[in-house]
Amino acid sequence: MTTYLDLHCHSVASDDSRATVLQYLKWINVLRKRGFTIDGIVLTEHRKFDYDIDYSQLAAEYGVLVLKGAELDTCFGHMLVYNVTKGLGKDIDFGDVKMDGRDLIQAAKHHGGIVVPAHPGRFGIGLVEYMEQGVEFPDLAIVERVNAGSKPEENERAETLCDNGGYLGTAGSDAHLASHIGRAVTEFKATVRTEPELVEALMSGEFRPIYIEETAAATIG
Amino acid sequence: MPTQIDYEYDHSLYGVEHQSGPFEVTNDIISVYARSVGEDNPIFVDRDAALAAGYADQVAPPTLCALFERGELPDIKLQFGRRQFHGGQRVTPRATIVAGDILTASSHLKDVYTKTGRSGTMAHVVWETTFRNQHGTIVADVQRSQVVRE
Amino acid sequence: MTTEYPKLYFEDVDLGDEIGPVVLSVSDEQVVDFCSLWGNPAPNRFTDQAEAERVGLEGPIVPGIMTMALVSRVLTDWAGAETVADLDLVFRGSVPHNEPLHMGIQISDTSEDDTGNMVQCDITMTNPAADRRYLIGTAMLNLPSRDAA
Repeated sequence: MTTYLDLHCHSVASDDSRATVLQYLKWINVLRKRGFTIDGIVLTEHRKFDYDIDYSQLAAEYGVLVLKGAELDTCFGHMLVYNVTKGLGKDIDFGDVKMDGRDLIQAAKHHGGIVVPAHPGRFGIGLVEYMEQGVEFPDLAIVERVNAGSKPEENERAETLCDNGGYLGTAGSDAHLASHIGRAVTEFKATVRTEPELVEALMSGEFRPIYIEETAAATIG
Repeated sequence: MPTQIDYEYDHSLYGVEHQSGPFEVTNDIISVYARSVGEDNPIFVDRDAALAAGYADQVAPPTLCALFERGELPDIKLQFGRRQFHGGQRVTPRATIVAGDILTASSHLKDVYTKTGRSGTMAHVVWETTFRNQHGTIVADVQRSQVVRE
Repeated sequence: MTTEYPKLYFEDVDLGDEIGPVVLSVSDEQVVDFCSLWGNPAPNRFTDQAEAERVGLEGPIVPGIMTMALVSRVLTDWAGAETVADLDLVFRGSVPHNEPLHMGIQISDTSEDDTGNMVQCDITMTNPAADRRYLIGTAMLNLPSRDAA
């Protein structure tokens, strides 16, 4: 069964977000009433991960899958991490804004997670900037191709990176406001219900980045 | 607990309330403020209209008190960055402020943290301020985030 | 006891409603006027091209608290003078003078509790092409109910 997930969003747990998780879930139901399809979100708070917080009751109430990841600052730009474990938290200081992104990629892989560089085409901070300086990322297979919070030319750079470099691409809203959730989603061929299943689905390569408008056709079809 | 960062600054400012003021809210200040942002609501621009509407004097628009906080916060002596800009502002009005009010401010350092963005590493310095009027009534809470850039 | 008549009732808005974009523009004269409130000696980065360039800006910018005042004005024009219970803005980019500023408002939450009939608005301000984001934020409005009117 196809799963539509927004793989990149921030709740008020992030310093620059002004949306609560509850508000995101309410807004997803607004999107559904408008005819769009979105099954869930992955919260990717900046520079932190809360192991204890449990959204399952809220998620069930609103019929929206809520998974947890993180967006970490590295010396090679921001990186989304999926399936964050306590083991990874022991090996990596999530608050270190200058950590080596390549170490993070390795550590996440070691602990059963996966790293997807966020908004790689973003000027001044995206992965493309560092690749142009000659930095290589041999263990990287997936980048965020569509970031609904980026400028169009930044997403074009990300598309060029994927097309020329052979990277698979995800999509996420990068929402910091409730009404921005779901603007871009990743369409998975598989059913995704948990963080390990998300990693599995990403590793399978059976996904594509789309804007929310494309999911309207999925609802009708 | 403040966030741990790599750069030195004056941690002794935590837990200390910095007092500033008094700031007199005059009809002139309200009028210039309102005029400069194109405000035309009668209670903000016309004392008589405000009186007729039942207020004690010309009413200050909701975010006016943020004017008084600027330039009043202590230097945290951050050993980082060269350029500063205004990163964010939050104003929570608690009671109506009118011309003739005398405000005082009590501010404390909430947090200093770093992050990275298009312009490199940035340090955010976050202050919280409570404004009271001459009767001791809290009229607004204000949070200001000042960003220091490499 | 005031006799201010509300412009907007809680029952008038729904989750998902969109207002705007409201198009604003700030002139050089308005900024100079605003800066006079600080006793800010001209020239400075808010009022002078050369000073703005000296600190790495393309041109003079609108002060953050003035931008906030503009946002507040739009909200009170729409909802009523004393409806703003909270305004929380994150400045994402320098706001230029004399350029169209598109301010969008979306109703992102509504609730009724002891504090009142609360309406949360998501706020954005961008250039007309929406490829330069000047700010994001939220406003909490406390609106009167028709039931109480």
